[in-house]
Amino acid sequence: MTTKRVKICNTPECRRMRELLSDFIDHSLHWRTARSLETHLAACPPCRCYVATVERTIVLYRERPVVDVPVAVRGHLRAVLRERHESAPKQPAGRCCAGKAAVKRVVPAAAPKPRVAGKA
Amino acid sequence: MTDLVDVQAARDERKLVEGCRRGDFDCFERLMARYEKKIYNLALRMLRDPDDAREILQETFLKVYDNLEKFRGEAQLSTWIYRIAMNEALMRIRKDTHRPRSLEIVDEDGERREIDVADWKPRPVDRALTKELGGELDRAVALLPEDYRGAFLLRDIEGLSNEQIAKAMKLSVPAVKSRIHRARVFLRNELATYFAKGRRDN
Repeated sequence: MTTKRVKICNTPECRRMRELLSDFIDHSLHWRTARSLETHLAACPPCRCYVATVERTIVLYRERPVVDVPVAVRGHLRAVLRERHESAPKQPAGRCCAGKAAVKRVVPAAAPKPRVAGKA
Repeated sequence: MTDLVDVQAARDERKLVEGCRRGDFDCFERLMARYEKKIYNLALRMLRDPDDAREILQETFLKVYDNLEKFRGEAQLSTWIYRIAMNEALMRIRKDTHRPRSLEIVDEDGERREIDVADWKPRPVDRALTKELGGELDRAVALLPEDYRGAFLLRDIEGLSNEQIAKAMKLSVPAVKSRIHRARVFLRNELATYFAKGRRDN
């Protein structure tokens, strides 16, 4: 990536642009408002750049890989739910609360977690 | 065409829910297959911990199973499932006192006013940079307060509407919009800082 510095602008039109930025990106503004912002963008390179970089941020994050559910986790999830289902065979899903306490947990009751730098 | 596909998908889903209510476990498995990857990835992005993610996945589907009878179809099934999953994720984050505190988001026109705008032009395929950038983005998303992170993920990754997110997160639509907006601006500013640092280092 290369970067180019453009100082952020602060005219009333630019502030309005930044205020309505998300609605503009989501195409949820009234067409007249959207058109007035497009007119402003055409004449204001810093705002154009700002909008483009917000959109790019979203696209970059969307491109983060999606992981598959680990096979063991999928298998255990099905086993746990099947066990619950079979513990009350005459009860359809949504009516079964019996045997709730007997259901195996994926992970035993969690111990307090150590403080890990960088973990959300 | 997309509308037709959506209508068909909604019809299929209704049939699956009806099947689950009749006690057909295969229907429930098919329902899980539709959502488990989405919920697992959402939980991973919310908590950045595979153990937490699989616990949330399990709790979510146990609750879906137990409460499917109460699901009346006023909301879409997906919104309802996201609501359960998001609630589990938020509870877990708030309960964990060891979890590092997220940043406070400042108003865009406050302290951040002087930040320069960077024009990011991608080079042709640069995998190392893409990976590094991805890590930077993950770090920035983790810094968001949990309800901002949740709203951002549901909107920009899962593609829910503001109204669906409001239902899933028990927030008003203006509160959802405000969180999404500020999250996007925060992430953009974090990346701008990252790129500016790279420029200084070069």
